Amino acid sequence: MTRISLTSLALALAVSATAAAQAPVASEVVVILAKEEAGAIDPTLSDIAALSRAPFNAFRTMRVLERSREQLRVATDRDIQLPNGRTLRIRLQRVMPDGRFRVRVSINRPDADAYLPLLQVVASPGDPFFVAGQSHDGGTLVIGIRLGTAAP
Amino acid sequence: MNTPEDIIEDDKLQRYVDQELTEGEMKVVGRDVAKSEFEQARVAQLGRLSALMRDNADEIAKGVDAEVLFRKITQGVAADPSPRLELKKTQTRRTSAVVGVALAMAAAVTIAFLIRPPDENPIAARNPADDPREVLVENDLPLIHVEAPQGSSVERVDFGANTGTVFEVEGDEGQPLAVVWIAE
Repeated sequence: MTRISLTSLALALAVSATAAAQAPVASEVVVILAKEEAGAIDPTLSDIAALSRAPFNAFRTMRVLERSREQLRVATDRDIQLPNGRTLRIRLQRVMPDGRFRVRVSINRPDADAYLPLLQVVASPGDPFFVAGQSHDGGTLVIGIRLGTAAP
Repeated sequence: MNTPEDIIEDDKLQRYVDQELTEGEMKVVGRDVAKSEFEQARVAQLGRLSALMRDNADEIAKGVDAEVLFRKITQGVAADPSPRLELKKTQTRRTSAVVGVALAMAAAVTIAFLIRPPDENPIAARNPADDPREVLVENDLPLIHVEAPQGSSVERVDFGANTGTVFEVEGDEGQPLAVVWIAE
């Protein structure tokens, strides 16, 4: 009885993992222009608590320049144009058995050396990671990337 | 008259005739033989037997038929019969019977060892817990739900021609969130 239950559970997990690997994964890319000068923090960023902690709390102005929501599929590249002319390429490499995502990101500019040739991250659903530091329009670009939906 | 206790042992007397005893033993046996006509007769008889054996040693070495050889020896003995030799023949027959029974028993034991079933594994017998039998038991333990690590983390990064750093900030639930900061 126990053996049958374990076999069924393993089969169900395998089927579930396969289905999860094939299903598209929601993603959100937020491009923020952050400045140290006094100003306003975009209220749509209030759900990202990390932006209110160091070192991001050094910025007193944050404005969302772009918010892109995409459906990512495994091993399929999605390109997002950044305000500074570069291209952010994001690829979902795989959905891991524990539900986390392995993502590969690069930032390039046509006819120029790669700005960020490779970044590989593992992220839980709903938990963002950040790429920051590019200079733009008197401030600094902060890019937040989040995949999947956070567990309730 | 010699009593059974006074009779010198056959083997000892034979070694006396063959002069294989120690010097001290030779003196003691020689004194006993000198006191007894019966022992003197035995010594003479054993001496003749030894001489017969020596005389036929070449034929033995050549592989002469044992029956022929034995017949020659018995004929020599018959020419000068001795009560003690009759006793030895009886003992020989008895010894042969005992040896035959012993051989039969040894053969039986050997056959029994050969055809008996193999022993069970002695280690398993001593340690039943080591017996690799599959045992199914009811598992009433509650299922343990293992949470995947929360947050995000950098596995690989290549800054190319730039420099940069990787660190973490705390999320709203305390989970670590990866930050890649590029120095442009």
